Amino acid sequence: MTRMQMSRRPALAWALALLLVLGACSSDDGSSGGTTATTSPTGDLVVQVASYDLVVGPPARVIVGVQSGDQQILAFGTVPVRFTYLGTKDAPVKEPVAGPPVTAAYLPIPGTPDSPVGVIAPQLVSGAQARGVYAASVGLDKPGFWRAEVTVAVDGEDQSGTGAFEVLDHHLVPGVGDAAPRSKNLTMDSPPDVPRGGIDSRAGSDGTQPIPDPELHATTVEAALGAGRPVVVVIATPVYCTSRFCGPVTDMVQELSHAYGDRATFIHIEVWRDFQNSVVNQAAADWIFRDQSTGLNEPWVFVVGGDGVITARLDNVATKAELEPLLQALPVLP
Amino acid sequence: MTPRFAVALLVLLVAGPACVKVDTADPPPTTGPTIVVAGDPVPVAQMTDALANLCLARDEAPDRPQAAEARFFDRSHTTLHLIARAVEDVDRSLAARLLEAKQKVEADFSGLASGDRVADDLGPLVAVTRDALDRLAVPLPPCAK
Repeated sequence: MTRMQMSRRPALAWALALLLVLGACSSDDGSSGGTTATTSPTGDLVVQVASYDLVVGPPARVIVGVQSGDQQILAFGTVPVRFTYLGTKDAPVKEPVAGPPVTAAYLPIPGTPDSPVGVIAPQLVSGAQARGVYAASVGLDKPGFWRAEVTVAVDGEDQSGTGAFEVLDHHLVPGVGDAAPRSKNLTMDSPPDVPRGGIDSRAGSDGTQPIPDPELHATTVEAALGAGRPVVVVIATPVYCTSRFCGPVTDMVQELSHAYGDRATFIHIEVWRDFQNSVVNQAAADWIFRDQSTGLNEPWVFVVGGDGVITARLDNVATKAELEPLLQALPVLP
Repeated sequence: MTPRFAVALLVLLVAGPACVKVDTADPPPTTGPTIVVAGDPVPVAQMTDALANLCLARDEAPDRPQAAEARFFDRSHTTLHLIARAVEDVDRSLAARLLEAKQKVEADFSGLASGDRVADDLGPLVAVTRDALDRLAVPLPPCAK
């Protein structure tokens, strides 16, 4: 068990502060590359980089959520995103220069509709109609703070917004090529003194609600890897999620487990053993809270080969379209 | 609060008011005083508006569950996460109750529960959101007073 004592996203506050200092009073016309803040109180777009644990290195997935000031979701099609290096808190760049636009494609949250066929232009829609983010493959070459800027035409009118984010010089959470933690996660067979809400937060803090995915709590990562089986691990807290995506992503992994259970073992690790007292499950900490001086983010999905090496890692938003090809590439187990 | 987070907040407080551009054409929830939640400034009026719309969703759910769902996701859902995050720092138990109540409503909508069931679960969510806003000293909408 690990007691969490830190603010979850202290770095983002620095990024936002830096963004304000560097570009707070610039215009909104996009020419200077800066709006007022991560959120836009003037009714323009609200841009938030939704990726976790971004590091310097070769191109990797960066996901960006975009909303209007009145909480409509930007959905469907593609958007251009420009990335700008802002520097570090000790050495901010005085005149940041935006990089070339990168095309980011719509990534629907599991359970919500994908872009209609042929739709390229993004639309502002109700959250009941569609929810998703935009994903691009981007190489970020310097550690420090960066800015993502989205400018799109919505209903014939250009709208823009920016969001700041941090890029690290090394991963804080295990990445592709790393050895997977051989966690002894809680299971449905854990002793009676283990709170059921620690197995799955949907059991409720009093443990009286049913756990809807018992098949994902049937075994441990340690046991599955010990048997040489590939493992798909979703680390999520469907009730206490900070990102709004834990429930849909966990449900999607459960659905995949029914189709590909003959190729891999599927495991859901609940983040919190006791949310109210800030106690993180040790198995979750093994994966996503190893450096306890930093924040805790969720959900995550990892695909681990039978040799115990991580072959894929998806942060925050994971989709069936991204995971299914990886699972289809695995051999059917004897 | 960590020292570096406090400094970042200070920068926000100093830089923010000097540079805010007020556009009177914007809806009220995006203007006015803000609370910084995990580094982002959130308009207080947006929080009040979220609760007001929860009340409306609760009232319309029995007869018009789809309208209640649209209202929940458009006007309340995102802000409920921010309210929970804000209250987490001062009353984690209250944040837990808020998130648990919210999750029940989400499960209702995704499971196509009846309008009456949705209304039954929106009631406790309204109540706990009211408690959370009270804890944050955010003005309550008339429906929750």
